[in-house]
Amino acid sequence: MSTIAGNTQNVFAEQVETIFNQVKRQAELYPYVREKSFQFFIEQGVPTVKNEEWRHTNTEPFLKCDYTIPSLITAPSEYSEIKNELNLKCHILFFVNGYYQKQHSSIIPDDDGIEISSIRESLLQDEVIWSSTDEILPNDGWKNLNDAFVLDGIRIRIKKNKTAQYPIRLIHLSNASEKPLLIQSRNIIILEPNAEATVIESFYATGNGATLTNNFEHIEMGNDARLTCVKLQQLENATESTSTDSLIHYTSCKLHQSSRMKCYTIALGGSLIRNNLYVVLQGSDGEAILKGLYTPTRNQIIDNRTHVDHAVSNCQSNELYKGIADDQAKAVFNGKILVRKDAQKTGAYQSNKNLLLSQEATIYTKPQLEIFADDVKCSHGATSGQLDDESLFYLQARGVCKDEARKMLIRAFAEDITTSITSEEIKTWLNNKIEQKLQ
Amino acid sequence: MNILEINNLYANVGGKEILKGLSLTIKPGEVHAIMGPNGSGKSTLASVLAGRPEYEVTGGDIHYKGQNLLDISPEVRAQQGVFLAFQYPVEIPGISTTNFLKTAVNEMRKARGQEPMEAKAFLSMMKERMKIVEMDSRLTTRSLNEGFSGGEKKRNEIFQMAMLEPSLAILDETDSGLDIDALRIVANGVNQLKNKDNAFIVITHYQRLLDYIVPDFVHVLSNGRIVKSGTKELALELEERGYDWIKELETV
Repeated sequence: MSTIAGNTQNVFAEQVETIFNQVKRQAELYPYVREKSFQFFIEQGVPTVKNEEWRHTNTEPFLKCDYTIPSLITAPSEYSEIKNELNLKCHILFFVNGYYQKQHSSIIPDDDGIEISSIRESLLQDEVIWSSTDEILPNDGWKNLNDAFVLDGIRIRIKKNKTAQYPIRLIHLSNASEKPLLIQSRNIIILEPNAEATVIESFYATGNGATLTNNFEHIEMGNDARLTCVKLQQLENATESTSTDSLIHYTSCKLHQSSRMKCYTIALGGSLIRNNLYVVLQGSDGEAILKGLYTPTRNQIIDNRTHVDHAVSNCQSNELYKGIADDQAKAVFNGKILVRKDAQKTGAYQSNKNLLLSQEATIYTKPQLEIFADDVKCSHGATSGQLDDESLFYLQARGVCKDEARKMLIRAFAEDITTSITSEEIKTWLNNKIEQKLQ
Repeated sequence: MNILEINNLYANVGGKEILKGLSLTIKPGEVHAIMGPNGSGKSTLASVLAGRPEYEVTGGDIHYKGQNLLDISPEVRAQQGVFLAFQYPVEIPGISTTNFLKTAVNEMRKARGQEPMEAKAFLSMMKERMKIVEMDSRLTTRSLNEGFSGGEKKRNEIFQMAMLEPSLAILDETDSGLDIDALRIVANGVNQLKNKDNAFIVITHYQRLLDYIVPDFVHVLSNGRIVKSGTKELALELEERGYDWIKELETV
């Protein structure tokens, strides 16, 4: 570790230590886990660029703020606007700076297959909150930091043989007015055997102050369970020239026998967004479809790390991630498929395609395939390129002006990420968001 | 007024001079066939007329309906009625033929100060024009040209031409790669669209297409210039004698 890097980490650790003492006073639950995780964090720090998994994303500049932990505040005025942008009857779970806002959330009562409780409420009874992600995610500084600090979040359970009648919409809003905030929350989504649900999560930011959100999510899918999970990340304000809000987001998914998950990660913008999506197929005949779109502009960084672990036989995974980088932005894709020795008859496919819209934008892509079984069908591929001149000219030759032709081609590039979403309302909402960003 | 007047045109691509003093005048209602050996400049002429950016005009001028065509961007040329049927139509995943044409038709209408077309009127126009090239309606919902056969791509070009109703259509080797049935369909489409106000430039390597699209004039291009012009009989002569005697003409 270089001196500068070391100093930054030390400063960050000192700040975090101060606020950790506040956390301990707020929640005296599981002090042992918190203390242990905190010690790990103090010793290890968060991963630096020396760590292969974080090579292209330097978080050091984001550690330099004088962070404090958020206190409970009421919902900012943007709340109703955000709520209404999706024209679909949903359960709404609203979070400000990681805290669940019960008074602004609305759970439709007649949906008897779902059970929702805030983590704050269930901290006492629920050891799973700390232990669930341990075996899937890397034991790194961010995870330990979250273990040490987590104060709130949500736990969703879809009961056996039940289908959630309405999508469950989680709205995470980061809001710092002046002092920079370090936000740490956790969500747990459990689908019991043969349960079905659609979960829509959006991450937004308002306010002028800086925020760093370190959010963890665990998804547990019982036998034959079915989940559509949509994540929209837009921590930027079109009127501001730079974004001051960042997100470190870890998702661990455990898929049991014959369960099927579709996960859409749409990262439109933010100062820094780092997604870590870890999927373990550990029951046969499971299926994971992972789609992602990332569109950093200006000096934003969006980094997607995916990890698909085929632990048993007869599972399918299909991954398509697309990136569009403009201005001086940086986009990273690092996707790994691991097919273990026992995972015969696996079908695992991964594709990553990138579009560079400016000379100064950068793309890093690293597809990885590790196969230890011998009877499998796997493929991976990555491309990076610019808009095709021939296609541009073709559109122009049909009367479409160059600017509009560019927009059409950029939209067309991103188009197939959302096509497989079955709900027309959700698809339209997402496509509008994407289109606005790509304007 | 002449639709097109090309006067002593010189053009190069990648620093290589291809057109070397080409002149051609086209009046409304005429069909001009341009033939010639490989590398004679046929496709360069098509590209220059459509405004392909890599092609640089170094001498001469082109007037389209009395205005200097070289001052106009490719999209405005299209909006004013210049249409190029591409030799190699581009595949564009993510854009359906229907959406693409709706944008194109409405951009043209906008340029003419007209309101966008009603969805219903547009769809019935599509349906009607698709018949001209016997195009399968399922193709229009698929991504533009993606996975289309060679024949389907060329038919799609003529279908687009039917939708956009150009004044000057340039068919750049539209017959290449077509079997005899597809060739007849494409030619039939062109013949239906032909009228007294528009004009066609049919670029082809072989005489075969001209059995179906009967030209008023045939020009032979060699080494960047028109070395011989005539009527449709010239095409038959070329078919019989090949291009070698033309090359000799040029050196005389």
